[in-house]
Amino acid sequence: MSSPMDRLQTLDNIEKDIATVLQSAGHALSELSKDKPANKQVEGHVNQFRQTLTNVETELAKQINYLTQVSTGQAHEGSSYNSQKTLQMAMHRLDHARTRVNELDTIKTKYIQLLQQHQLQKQQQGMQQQQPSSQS
Amino acid sequence: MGVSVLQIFPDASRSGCIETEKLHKRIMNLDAVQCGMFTVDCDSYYTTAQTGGGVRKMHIVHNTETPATTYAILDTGSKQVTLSADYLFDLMLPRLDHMYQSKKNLKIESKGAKYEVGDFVVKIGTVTMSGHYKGILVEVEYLPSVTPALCWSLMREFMQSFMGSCVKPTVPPYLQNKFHDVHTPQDTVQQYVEKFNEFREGPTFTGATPSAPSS
Amino acid sequence: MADIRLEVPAENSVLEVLYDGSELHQQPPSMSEHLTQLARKIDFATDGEEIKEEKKEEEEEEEKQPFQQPHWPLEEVRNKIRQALTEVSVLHDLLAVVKPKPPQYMVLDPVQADPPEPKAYIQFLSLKKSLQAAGTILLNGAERLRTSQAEMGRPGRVVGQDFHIELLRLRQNWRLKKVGSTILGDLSYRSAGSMYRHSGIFEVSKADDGPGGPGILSIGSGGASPVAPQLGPRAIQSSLRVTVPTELTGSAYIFVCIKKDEEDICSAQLTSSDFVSGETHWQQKLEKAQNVLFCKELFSQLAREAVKLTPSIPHLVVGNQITATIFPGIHLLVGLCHSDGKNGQKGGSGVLVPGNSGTGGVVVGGNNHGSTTNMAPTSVMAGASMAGAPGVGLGGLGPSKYKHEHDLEHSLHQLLHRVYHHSFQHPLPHPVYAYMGMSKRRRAAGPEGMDKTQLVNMMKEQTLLEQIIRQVQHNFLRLRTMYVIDQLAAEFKDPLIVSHWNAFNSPTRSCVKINIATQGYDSVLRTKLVIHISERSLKCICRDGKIMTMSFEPQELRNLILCQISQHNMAALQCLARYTGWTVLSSEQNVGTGAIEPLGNASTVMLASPSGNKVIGVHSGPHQRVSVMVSSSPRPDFYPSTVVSGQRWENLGASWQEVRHDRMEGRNFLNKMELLMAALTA
Repeated sequence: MSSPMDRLQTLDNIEKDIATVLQSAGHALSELSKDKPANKQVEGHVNQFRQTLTNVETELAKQINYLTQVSTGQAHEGSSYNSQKTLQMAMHRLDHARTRVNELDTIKTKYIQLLQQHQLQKQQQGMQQQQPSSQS
Repeated sequence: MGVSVLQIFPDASRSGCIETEKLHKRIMNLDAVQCGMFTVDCDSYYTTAQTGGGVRKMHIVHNTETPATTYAILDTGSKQVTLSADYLFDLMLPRLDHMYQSKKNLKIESKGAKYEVGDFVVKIGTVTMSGHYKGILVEVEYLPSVTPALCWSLMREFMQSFMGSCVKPTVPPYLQNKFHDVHTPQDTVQQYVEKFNEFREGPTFTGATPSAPSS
Repeated sequence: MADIRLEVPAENSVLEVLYDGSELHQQPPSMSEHLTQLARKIDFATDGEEIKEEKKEEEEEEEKQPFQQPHWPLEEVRNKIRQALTEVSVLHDLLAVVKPKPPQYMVLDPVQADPPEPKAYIQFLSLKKSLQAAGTILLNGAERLRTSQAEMGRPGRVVGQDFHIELLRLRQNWRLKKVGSTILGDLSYRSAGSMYRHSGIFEVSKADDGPGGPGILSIGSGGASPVAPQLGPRAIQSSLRVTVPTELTGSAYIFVCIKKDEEDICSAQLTSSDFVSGETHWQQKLEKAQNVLFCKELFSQLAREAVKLTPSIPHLVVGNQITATIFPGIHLLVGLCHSDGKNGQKGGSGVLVPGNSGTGGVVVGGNNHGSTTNMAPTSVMAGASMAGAPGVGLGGLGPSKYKHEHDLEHSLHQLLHRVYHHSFQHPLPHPVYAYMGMSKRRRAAGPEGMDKTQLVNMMKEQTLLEQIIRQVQHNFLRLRTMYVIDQLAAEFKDPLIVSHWNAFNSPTRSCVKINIATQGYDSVLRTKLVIHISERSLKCICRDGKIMTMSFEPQELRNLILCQISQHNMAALQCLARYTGWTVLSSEQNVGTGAIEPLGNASTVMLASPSGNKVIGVHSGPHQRVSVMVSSSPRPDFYPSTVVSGQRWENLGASWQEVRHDRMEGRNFLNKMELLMAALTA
């Protein structure tokens, strides 16, 4: 249904609404406490208070309803540690294989270099031999 | 797993104590070591008359040598089918009640002591059918070999050494059919069923040539 | 002087005194009653005037009478005072009655005074004040709530993820529960099947606002460079902080190595270059702590088993290291390296004493601190579970000669993990009414007819240490076999030795196929062998059905292959003879004459040419090289003598002449033989 992020967002909104509720109640009372209370303002604040309060109530009731349906009093006894461990070991194997392949790779490049050097040397020797033969 | 041969030891008495004692002494003279007891029991079930065809028999055999196994041998007139199943097979038997009825008075078992002599294992068992003594059945097993063909003569000689002339020089017919095959626990159990059938035929068996298994 | 007040007694007389002390006064006559009283007094028979006068006189008399009653002038006063006294004494008696503290006869109760009349305006003011106070309190509360909310959503804060979302992520990966007002978590493997007694509880709390400097990364960029110690300055801010138990801080790994016995005193300097700073992300922190716990459990289990088992050469458990003997002179060293995250560098040293070949190596002093270089999390999940990818460089493990075996460490982890798995996972019952927990082998035991010894063997389980020792033995043996075969292949070019290792193997069994073939003559003959490598022995199966079991000594395998090479040469020669048309006169695989071979047996072959006049004899042994002799008939040096007179006897073979085949042209032995045969036939 709704993802946990959405629900967390809704709960955040509810918290903001609660702050609004408190604020409007405070405003209403402070209006009333003035020497000349402006009735309209007071009424406005009180209406806002009532509205937001009903809003908060319905939203919270919804959330609590949802929780009563999906949650249980028992603690969750299982854990994902087994599969986590399997994953970690698999990653370790992967890394190990990778390093071994890298080792082989370095050996290969070293070998190719040696081979190239060898070939170069041979060529040089061949050329040197040709030169004396052409000279003589 | 070795090759097993069964041999009925002739015994004219009503109870096998004396003969068993005799065999025991002979075996101990061969420097045998007694190492426990064994039991082989066989329950027989007959098909009820409603099911068509001939009367078929089903033997349920347990052997303490293979404690995890129950053998079920279905004996139609012409052939025998052997099933070796886990011990839990016994729990299925009540469900076959409508087809197979057991006859409790036909329950046979061979019970006795087990001896080890070098590479041989000798089991001297007293055969009783629902409490009545029937005879003595000796099982000799030669562990190193799995093919009867390779070790029959050796086994016969060994058996003759402590059982005497009741051991015939000819190969028993059951083994003859499977002379060159690998011997399995099922073969042992089938031999037992054969011998038990022989015991069932005669009231008190005094030892004779083994006859073909009856239908 | 006391003031005495004289007062007229009550106008209305007391009718009755009630029990509670109140007096019932006779009510003053109402108007109609007064009128009736007066009317009664009127005597209608007499005249009015006389009545009036009589009335006046009566009134005067009445007035005079009370006036005349006092005998002396203070009579009235005395009476009044006496009455006052009476009343006072009554009051005194009343008080005396009421006085005893546990009330016995009478209790005084306050009579509520009449409420004072409320003054509306003051009330109004006080109401207003209280409303104002309430209003300010509410506004303050709302203000506080607002500021805290605003702070949460402040854009300057990293990641923008608040505590709850982080908590959600934490909850998705780790076990959490709320106890009172704190959130505790469980990172032990108990829920996965472990029996270790460490509780592994960590605490989750809200992080205070960090300095929140620049260059802060989000969690998503986990693909950082593989060298994790640089994680420090790039701290990841999160609104969640976890506190792991002190004994699980830092990181740990199990150090496994195989060492030979001949080494001198050397010190293993295992330094740690890893630190777990305070700003490490909670996921990594928890993973490392869990890994530490796992390593500790593994090591404690191994140590316990090492003490319990009694092999022929006992295992040594010293400090944080276990030394077990695999083969004589070769030891397995298992150590727990745990580096606390407090300081950067911590050095530890272990001293090895050279042992005789009989006793094992003794390790004195435990290595408490190990080197770890964190394996980079390629995703956040991988964490630093097992440290020390060799590609990164076992930086701290410098001067020591100990090479950490990663695959063996991995095997150890896997073994313990398997123990967890089995403690919870039971095989399901087949069939449904069977018992739970019967493994496949046990299920098959029934139909197979296993006897008691087999069943008992099936039930026995090997301990962790035994299992790992078997694996290490096999590993070592396999590597040694590889080495021997490769050495031989490099040494001998004459028949080529080709080995194919089977890709399917288990931790305790491997298999290699060796083909011995001469280059260029593969189709002539290929000698094939299969070598099965188990833990402590090798089993070689040749193509002709011979099975040989060898021990772990490398020399035995070498000898075997040398024998096979020499026999291959002979057999190949025979096949070659068939192709070239030469007849095999005799072939003897294990020749009983001639010098004794130090290993194996020599073999000989005699070949005759198609025309029959040349005979080649070859003698080959694993130790001696091949020797080739040729004889030709007719003998060039036949002279009929008195004993042997017939000319035909010259056809018997001449004396043998050795061929120096190492000087011959030809790539390998078979090639040379072929050329020789060709030369002789021509």
